[in-house]
Amino acid sequence: MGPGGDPHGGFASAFASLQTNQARQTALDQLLDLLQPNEWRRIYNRASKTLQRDIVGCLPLELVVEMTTYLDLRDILRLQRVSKQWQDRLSSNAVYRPVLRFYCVPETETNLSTEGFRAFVERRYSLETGSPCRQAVYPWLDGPDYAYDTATLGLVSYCSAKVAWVSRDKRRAFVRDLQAGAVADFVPVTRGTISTIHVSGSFLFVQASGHCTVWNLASGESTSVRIPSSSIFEVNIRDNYVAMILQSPTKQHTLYSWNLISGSLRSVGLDANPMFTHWNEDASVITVIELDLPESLSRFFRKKYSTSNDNLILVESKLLVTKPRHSQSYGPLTTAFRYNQYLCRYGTAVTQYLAGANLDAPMFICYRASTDHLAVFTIDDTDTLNAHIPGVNISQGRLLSPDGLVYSPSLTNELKMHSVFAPGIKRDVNFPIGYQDFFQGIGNLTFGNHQLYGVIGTKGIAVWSFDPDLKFY
Amino acid sequence: MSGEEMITLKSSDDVSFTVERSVAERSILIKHLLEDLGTSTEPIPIPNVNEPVLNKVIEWSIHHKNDPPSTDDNDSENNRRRTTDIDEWDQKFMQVDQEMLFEIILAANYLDIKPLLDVGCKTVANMIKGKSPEEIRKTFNIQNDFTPEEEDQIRRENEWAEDR
Repeated sequence: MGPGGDPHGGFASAFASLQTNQARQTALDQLLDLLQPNEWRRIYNRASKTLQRDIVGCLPLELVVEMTTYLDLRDILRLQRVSKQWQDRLSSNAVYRPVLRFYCVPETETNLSTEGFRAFVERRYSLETGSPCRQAVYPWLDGPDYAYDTATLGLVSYCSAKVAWVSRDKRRAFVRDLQAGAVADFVPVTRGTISTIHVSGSFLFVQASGHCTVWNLASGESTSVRIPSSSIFEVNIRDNYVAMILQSPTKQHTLYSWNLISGSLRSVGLDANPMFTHWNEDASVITVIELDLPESLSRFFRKKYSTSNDNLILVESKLLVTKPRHSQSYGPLTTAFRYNQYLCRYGTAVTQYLAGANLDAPMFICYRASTDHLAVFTIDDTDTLNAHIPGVNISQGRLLSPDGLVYSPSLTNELKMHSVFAPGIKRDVNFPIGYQDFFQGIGNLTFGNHQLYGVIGTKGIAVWSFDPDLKFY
Repeated sequence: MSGEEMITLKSSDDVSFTVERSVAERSILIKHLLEDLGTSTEPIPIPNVNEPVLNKVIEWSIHHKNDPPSTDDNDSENNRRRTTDIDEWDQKFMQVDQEMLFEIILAANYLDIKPLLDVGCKTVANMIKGKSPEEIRKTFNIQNDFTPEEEDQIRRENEWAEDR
């Protein structure tokens, strides 16, 4: 600073008055050439602060949403604690909605609230870490013997915290309401041998000796229809409608719709191999995902059948997915094929996990009715499979989450878990001592959905809940 | 080099860049603009992007000019838990100050360069993943404006999530 130098920085104001970028650059370069290392350090420290930017706070919200799709769900909650602005942005519906949609969670007001979202993340976390929040054992009253027997596979059913099973002599069906702690039993009017049962939120369906009977669980009233067929491939109840897919001995499939109020029964033949069904909201349309297997291809069709005007008519057919097939395996789809699967209906999504000796590789299929989108994943990584899905055994039922979490029991008192979408997620859940009885041998039947995993063992029923809201007694 | 048509882009601060058409067309915005304009030798103004940022974006576009067109993202519903893996070149490319990273993301969004936007978002996600609120505040120089009481309450609500 020379004599007469300006103590208030005439230099700075001279710099500030420069008109062009070019002039600023030149002046700056000249100045920088004069600096000492210490002064450089000063600049360095200042620069690293000045160039910091609250990126999440400043980006347009839609880009923040985009960014959150790369984050763990718990990261989203954690980000809400950074500042009020971050809290505001990261608790927006725009952030929650795609997450809920991905996990097939209905977009209710509760789920879209921060408390509801937090509760959802907590449940997810419990599922992903394989840590059940509640467990219970229900010893048999009249001990059925569910030893390994393929014929018993249609004889256990689970829905909305209700488990249904069949007595040892297969003449009576039981329903245990886990939340109410009550057991009810049902005897079909024909007093025949029960071959299939299915429980929904409010109905019990029983097939025995050529008759199908449905009980209203609340009122105890029942209604029956005679269906001269042997094998029931699928039962799906919505409101007062029962959708059934029956399989003839020649592997022909027929879709039935049974109106429980009017008693009318309609049917239509299916051309391709049915995979699963989905009812729309008011039971006016039943969607069937069908698999057609032309030479070296797998073609998945979505077909809609209307039940309006007391009819059952194919109203729309659409090819959703075509996949190459590596070998001639998985066809024809036999009843045995059906056993090696797990099905999960949740909200507007149905997912199916298929494994079997007659398959190239296990498949995970997810249909989202809200977007009419079908995703088919083949799980080719045999190492992963061998390590995490011990054997492919009819008796080894699995818990399936709509977003591709698959649980399978192992013979060593563990529940193994892997994720279809995130191969990194693999965990073993250790069951407490005393629960081994339920895993003795391979004679276990399992049931459940994304909330609950249950095993029917020789001594009774054991259940593990992953949903803190699902209380049972 | 004679074969390819050259395009001139002009940054918000009036600096011109001349690039091959295939490089410029990494930007869907410019691609559509060029389709509408037909052949034109006029420089294309990029009003929202300044010289240093446009320079970076062009550097990225040159490196990625031969990439196959990005697969459509209508599968985004199945895309949660996407990996945040970034290829090595992109990782190096993104080693910039936060201000520049922010500007690149905005530019990629404005110019409609989806793969660059993805890399930008992944980079930010990686800066955030698994970090505590305090670490994040430090990273981005953010003031904690919660009162101790408010903080306490939020912490209690999220306790279960903090055990890892």
